[in-house]
Amino acid sequence: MKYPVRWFGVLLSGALGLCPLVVRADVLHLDVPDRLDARELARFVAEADGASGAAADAGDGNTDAGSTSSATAGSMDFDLFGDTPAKADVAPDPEFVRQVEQRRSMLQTHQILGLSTLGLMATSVVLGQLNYGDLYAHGGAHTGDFLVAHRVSTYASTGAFLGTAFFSLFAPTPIPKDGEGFDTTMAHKIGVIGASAGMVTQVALGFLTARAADAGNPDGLRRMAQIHQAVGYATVGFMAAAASVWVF
Amino acid sequence: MRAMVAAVLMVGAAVPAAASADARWSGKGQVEYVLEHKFHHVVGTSTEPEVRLAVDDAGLKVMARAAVSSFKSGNGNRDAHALEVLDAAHFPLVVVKGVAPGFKLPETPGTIHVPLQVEVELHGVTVTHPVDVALHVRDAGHADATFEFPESLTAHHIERPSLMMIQVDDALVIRGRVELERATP
Repeated sequence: MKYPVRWFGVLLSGALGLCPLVVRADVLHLDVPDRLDARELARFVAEADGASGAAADAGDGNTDAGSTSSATAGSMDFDLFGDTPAKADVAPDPEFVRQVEQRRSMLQTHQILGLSTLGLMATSVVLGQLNYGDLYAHGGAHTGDFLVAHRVSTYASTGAFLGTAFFSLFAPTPIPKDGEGFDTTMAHKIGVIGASAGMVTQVALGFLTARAADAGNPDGLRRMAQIHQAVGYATVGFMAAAASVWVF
Repeated sequence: MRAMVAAVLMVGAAVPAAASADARWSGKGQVEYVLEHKFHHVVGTSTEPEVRLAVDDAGLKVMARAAVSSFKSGNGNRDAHALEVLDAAHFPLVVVKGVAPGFKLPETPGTIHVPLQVEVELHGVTVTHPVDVALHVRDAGHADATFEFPESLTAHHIERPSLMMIQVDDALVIRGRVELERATP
């Protein structure tokens, strides 16, 4: 059993070693050029760099076009500027890398939560319209069937909105943004500020409306409901604008 | 004897400098990347690429480089995100090297296509492939080069950014135009 296991290991190692090359060729979709022979290329580079022997040997199969760095290292080992830093000269900063990864993760979450919030807000508006028609419109049935559903959807919207804001506001910024005036991000922020103002207004209106209801003031209640309705539409409009600016 | 020297000097002056061997050229210009997303067509432009050429009897060697941070797409947030994706702090330059064995500079003004074997270093990962460069020689000391070629983001181990949960296309088109000037010896 000893030898079959060893040969299996050799075959597996070989297969795993070849896999990256197969995958890379598939990803790149690069054809081997018919204009340039690898041996000729290596010889030319070697002559130009004054290192004829070693590089010419490298042309035996290591400089085929379509390969990545691992297969072509040293094949164009020249620097016409004389001061280009080598890759290895710059050490990665682990803290910077961590911040970049955290930022990407948080902003991806922000996107998902933001679109979810928009969906919840749209649901709240639909339920709110149905609730308004039921309770305050002329001819409304006054059943209160949509009251709880509207309330639940607005609470969910508020929670999702706060969560979305959290993942944006607390994302680290390892690379500061250049100030270039008005751009998509600025438009997004304007939309979000409008939506935030709308959310705060809705919460305040909730208390005021409750007070009007407690005071038995039907006219004041209807007026509050109308303002609540208008602010609700404006809020979801700002939110939709904040999301859709990324599309344009 | 004096007449012979004069004749030699006159012939020497008549031969275009471009035809001589061991020429060094340098240039500046503009290079762009074009990135496609379902919702966006992004063009990032850098006006700070540096280009050097060396021509000798063996052929042509060319090298160009530009700071990753010099590319501007008209959206500061997107550019900052690009620096994060490309790990610009660790790999601040995009470097292109190319060779064309047997290349000779044309002796007369005109446009030729130069088949280059290039090595593109982006995000610290080098990818090699052929590129056609159109070289328009204006005179013995001036030329323009235009080029356009695709790069694969994944080949450079770059995680494709996504917007609205949709990733950008893998293909990145690099194109540009460079004005070249023969360096005085």
